[in-house]
Amino acid sequence: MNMLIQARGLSKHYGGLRALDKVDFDIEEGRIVGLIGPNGAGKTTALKAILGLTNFEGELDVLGHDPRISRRQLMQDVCFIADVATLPRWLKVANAIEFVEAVHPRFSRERARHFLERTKISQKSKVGQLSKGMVTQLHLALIMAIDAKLLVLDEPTIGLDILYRKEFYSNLLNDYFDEKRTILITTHQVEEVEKLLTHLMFISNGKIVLDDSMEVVAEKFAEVLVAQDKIAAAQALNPINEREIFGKKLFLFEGIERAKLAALGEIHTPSIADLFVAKMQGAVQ
Amino acid sequence: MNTMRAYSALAKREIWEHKSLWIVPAVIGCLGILFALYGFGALLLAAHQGMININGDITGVNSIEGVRAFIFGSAAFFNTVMLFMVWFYLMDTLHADRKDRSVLFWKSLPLSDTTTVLSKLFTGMVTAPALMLAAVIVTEIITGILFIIALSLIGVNILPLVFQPGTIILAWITLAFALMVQSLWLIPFFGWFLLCSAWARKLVLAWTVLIPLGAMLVERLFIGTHYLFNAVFGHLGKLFTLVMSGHYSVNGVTIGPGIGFGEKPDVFAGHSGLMTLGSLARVFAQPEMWIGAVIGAVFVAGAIWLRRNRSEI
Repeated sequence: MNMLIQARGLSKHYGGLRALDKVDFDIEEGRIVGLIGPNGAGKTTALKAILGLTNFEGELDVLGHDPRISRRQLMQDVCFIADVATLPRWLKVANAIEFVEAVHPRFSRERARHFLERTKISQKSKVGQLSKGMVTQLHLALIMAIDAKLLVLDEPTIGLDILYRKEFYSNLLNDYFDEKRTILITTHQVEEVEKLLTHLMFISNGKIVLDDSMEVVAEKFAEVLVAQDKIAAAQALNPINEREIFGKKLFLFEGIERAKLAALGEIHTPSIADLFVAKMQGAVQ
Repeated sequence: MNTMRAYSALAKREIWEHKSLWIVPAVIGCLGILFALYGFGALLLAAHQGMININGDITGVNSIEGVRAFIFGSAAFFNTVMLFMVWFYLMDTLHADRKDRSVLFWKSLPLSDTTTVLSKLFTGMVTAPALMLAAVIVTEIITGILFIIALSLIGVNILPLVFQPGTIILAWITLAFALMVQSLWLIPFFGWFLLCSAWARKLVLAWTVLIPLGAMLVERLFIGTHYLFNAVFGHLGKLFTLVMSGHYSVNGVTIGPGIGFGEKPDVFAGHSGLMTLGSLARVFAQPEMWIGAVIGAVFVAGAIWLRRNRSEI
């Protein structure tokens, strides 16, 4: 396995606010990592540091480069979509393709054309004439036509309707991702990326509070629907979260043996959203 | 990456975004042709009504200087407008993409911030004057032909006098060289506009003007001198006197080529004084040219640093 990103003691503060507080993490090749956190938790700061868009303290190695120093070389192997609709309104679709082809050694015009043929986007249109969803399709087509090692997506589908969002992720998974590529995503719409991810990272108040593969997450965390008579027993096992559903209680456990939990009730794998809420509440307490 | 291809794409990109770079010269050219048509119409009407008495003797006219005066004179108006256009272009170019956040797209491509900023400086210094020169040449050919036809209709045949391909082509080459010298001379201004464009969150125009004016005012009020004022406006003014051929004398003393700001020449020595390749080359001997280039380089370096480190508004 190739290590793509290594962060050691990564820190960044804006005035007194610590956006990243001595964070360590590794991202290996072939992973799809979801970086999930509440607003202001440090997600975007972490991505910006990886992309060389901000200064930071500590050590950060991305594909063998220090992003602060060799940004240009780094961008040959790293692509990113930061937010939706960052393509300029005056740019014509054909010109966008012409420009990226001229400046990016790994861009394939044929691939871009192939992806665009599946959309309603005309080469003659200007970005300003396209809908928000189409602009995202165009941006994704441009990015997917680049043979990059790392793709970073920062809220790539925010504000899009559900059809475009579903299509965005299915394109990404079916036409782009393979074992040689790595994708790092931040999003608020966790439900949509849930089935996509191979790894999960939670960030809260500038610290990483969870960093595991999805298999480990599924083993480590369990949700159990407990009937009234066994609530006391469940609470004795230190659940990380509990809530009421249809007169029963739903408990979320971390690191408890399945055999013990089976005695309490039906076991489910928690959704990322529920896990996220539990973890964030835990972090606050 | 094919470097030349990338550079040419960067140059084209600026024209895609800032269409005024070619639309403005084209519009001025069309207006020039319309004015010429109007003038020739008036001339023909006046001749028809017998208001013009044609002598017919045009021998002894300095036709070479006449042709050069026509070529440089009509270019002067284009140039004035172009300088304002370049000012507005440079102010906008590092600001607009931060404002609409498309800077994040440009930064996702493997281009260094130095390359990006220099491509914008290149657009102001080379692309804009080149597009303007093309418009000037086309306009001059058309108005020149109209001029010849209009005069021939009232019985004056100037064609043998003005058809001097050598003079005309040399004048256009001189014009191209003059535009290059002008761009080099104005680097400190261009650098300043780029710096403001990379720095300001909004109201770039106000910053480009108010900071120098404020600094001049502070110098005047607290130190009592006006070096900055002289440096800025003297630099602007000096170019236009420098490029004139011939010598000037002030109070009867010949002071050599060019005059400084505030000095008034009382005698124009020499011939017409229109610029030549030689008079333009003299500009490179001026220390101000090189001092200005260093100041401009500092401003451009500042713009690159800001582009690198403070790209978001």
